[in-house]
Amino acid sequence: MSTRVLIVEDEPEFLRRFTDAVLSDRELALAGAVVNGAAAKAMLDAQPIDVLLVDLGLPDMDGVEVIRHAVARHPACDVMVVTMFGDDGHVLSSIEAGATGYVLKDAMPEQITTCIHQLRAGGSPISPSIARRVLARFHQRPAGVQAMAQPEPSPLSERETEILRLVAKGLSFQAVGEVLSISPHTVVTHVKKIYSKLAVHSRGEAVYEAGQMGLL
Amino acid sequence: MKPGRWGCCDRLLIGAAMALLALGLASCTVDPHRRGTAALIEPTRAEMLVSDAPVPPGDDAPWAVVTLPDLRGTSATWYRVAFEVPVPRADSWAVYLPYLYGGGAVMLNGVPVEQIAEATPQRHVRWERPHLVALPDSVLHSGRNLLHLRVAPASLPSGARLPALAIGAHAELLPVHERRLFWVHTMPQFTAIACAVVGAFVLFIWLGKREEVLYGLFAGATLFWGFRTLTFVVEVLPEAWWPTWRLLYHSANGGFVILMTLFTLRLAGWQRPAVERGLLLYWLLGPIAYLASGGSESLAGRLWIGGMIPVGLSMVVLTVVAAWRQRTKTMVALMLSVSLGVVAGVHDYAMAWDSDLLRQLSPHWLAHRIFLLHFGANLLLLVMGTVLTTRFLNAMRDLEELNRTLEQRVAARERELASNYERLSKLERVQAAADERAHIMRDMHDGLGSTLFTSLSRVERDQMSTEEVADALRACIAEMRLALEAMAPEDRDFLGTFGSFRFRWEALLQARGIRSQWSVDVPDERLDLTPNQALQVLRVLQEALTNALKHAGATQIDITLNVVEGRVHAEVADNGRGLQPGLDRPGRGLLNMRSRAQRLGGALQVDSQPGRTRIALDMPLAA
Repeated sequence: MSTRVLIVEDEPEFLRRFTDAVLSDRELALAGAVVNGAAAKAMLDAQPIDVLLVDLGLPDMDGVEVIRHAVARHPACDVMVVTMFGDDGHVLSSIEAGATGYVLKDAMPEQITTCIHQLRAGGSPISPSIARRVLARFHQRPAGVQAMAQPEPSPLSERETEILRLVAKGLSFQAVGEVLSISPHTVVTHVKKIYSKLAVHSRGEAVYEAGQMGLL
Repeated sequence: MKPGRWGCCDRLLIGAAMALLALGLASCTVDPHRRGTAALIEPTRAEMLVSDAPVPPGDDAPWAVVTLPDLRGTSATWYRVAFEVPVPRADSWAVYLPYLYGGGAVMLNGVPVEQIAEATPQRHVRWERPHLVALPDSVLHSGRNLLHLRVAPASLPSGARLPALAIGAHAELLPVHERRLFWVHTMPQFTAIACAVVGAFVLFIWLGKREEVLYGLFAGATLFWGFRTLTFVVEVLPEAWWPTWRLLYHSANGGFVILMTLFTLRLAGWQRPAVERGLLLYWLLGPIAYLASGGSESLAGRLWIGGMIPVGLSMVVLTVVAAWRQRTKTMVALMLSVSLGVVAGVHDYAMAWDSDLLRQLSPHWLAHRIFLLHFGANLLLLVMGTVLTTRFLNAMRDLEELNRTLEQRVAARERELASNYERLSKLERVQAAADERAHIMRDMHDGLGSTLFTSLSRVERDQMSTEEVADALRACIAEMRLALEAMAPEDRDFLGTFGSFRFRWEALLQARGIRSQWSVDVPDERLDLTPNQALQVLRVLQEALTNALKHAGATQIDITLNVVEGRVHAEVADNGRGLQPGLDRPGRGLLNMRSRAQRLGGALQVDSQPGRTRIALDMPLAA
């Protein structure tokens, strides 16, 4: 059974680029290509979607909202965020909203499909700058820098932290796998787990804050 | 000194003054006459015969009747007093003599009962103490008894004097005797010791703080007074020492008065160097006159000391005026104590020289010979000591206050400096950021801008294939990424930037089927570079990698980054065909890299030959 992909991108040029990439792969099925958040939500609710490819700068809402909607209503759906350079702060907020992958805007068609397949297989890409941000997010800065505040107990396992550290240094998954004596496939699986933990962690915080503000 | 400060001290002063006054008055009332005890016999008459004989002359000698006290004797004199002892008599009896300066002997009914040492050519005596002579029960009988008293002459006060004596029960006379003993003997002992201790202490303070002249004056006056008081304590002295002893006594006596005067003048704020010099000279005059005259008591003790009386009276006037003007409790206390001291001094002077005035006013008082200057001077010293102590405490308090103010000022200054420093470093940071921004903007202008404009121009003239346009745009995006990477890390750690760079290029090289070997060796696992430095280093590496990728046809590229002794070394080595100087593009790329290396304060080293090309950047960490 092929992977059903929904593309949400308001720029026609990139919409076309992603659409072409998906269409070019026999194992992927294009479930839809929409240009705003409202349409994206409607499409998500109307049919089962395996992978959501979403840009953040949508005309009617923040892409993060679409991600939240997908994660909350359709847990089986994997979310990939479309990013210009792979290191802007939006990627992290998307991951915190529940995205488990990202794809670069200028990625070649085969790179786009590879990313989708990898994500479905249980793995996620991660760039050094995202790895650094995630580490910082858990108050575990790379070697040498003392944390300013008393760190809260990290939800990350030692292995996951180690992977993040190596990725932050610029090592490829291959190299990380070599250093840790695990396969590159295991590395990407760990990364997806890290993303999920970050999302859970961040949702827990959101709920707590909402409770504090009297919204719940 | 502000009156308000005297809240606690004035009570102390007044209390001390009252206590001393009370004591002084109490001593004046030690007078057997007023005790009104019927059992005491206080003869008003006696028989007298001038005779140096060791035993009393017989009844046939020419005894003469005199009234007691008899102060006119000049040489050794026998007195005899008859008295009745009532029957029955229960207790032991005694005879009480308030003083017997030159010593002598007491005989009862012809039996010697007491010998009080007299002066000899080798020994000088001067008994200040009273005498209580027990009358043995075996010799004393009921009815009429006859008491013989031998009175030896003394040098000071001169002559043989028989005071008003009292005969009666020993138990009744004992307290009277003890009271006088306390005031004329114990009290001076105590005064001498206290003055020595206090004087030495204050002297010690003054030696450490010479500019505080008041302390020196007070220490001197106290020590002088203590020494002078010894004259009442030391009653027996080798005759050879006597002149020296008197010289010292006069010096100390005059010194006390003069130093006290100087002290008072200063405290009253009336300081005249000429007057001070004059007073000090006058002080010297006494001992000199005593020495020059061969120990003339009347010259030194009478005339010279008498000259101190006007000085004392001026002091009284001065302190009265100062107290009136200043209206501080200090000055009032000083005025009162100076006045009392001067009155006591004049009284004692009159008493010592048997002044006619005093004789006429109260011969009984004169006969008792109770000197008051002890108390007056002690009071004066106490008041002045209190004044000094208060000044000392106030000075300490002022000092503490000053310290506190100073500390506050220092703290305020420190805060000011810190905030200045903060402002300055903030300005510096802003300036540094502005410099960095300028660098990077120029860079984007020259690099990205020029590529975009050139491409646009060529595209407009249809001179670029789609392939070339895509290449140019990819180059621009790569350039952009580089700039973002260089400026991204918040903590300026180049290793993070380098990690992103490596991540991107490793994937790129792998996609092109080129093996790459990355080696990083940086001490401390950290490398601080400014965004501009980071950007330039990455540029050089990117340029070198691009060359290797596009033109060298390499299959293996080694990238090295290390830091040795404060110098950054970045190197790209490939196994391609080597640089071809004939071609335009690599040449311009190399020139670019060279100029970047120079701007970083470093150098670019290029080794190229077929199969091995090495481009190395070497630059100092701090530009």
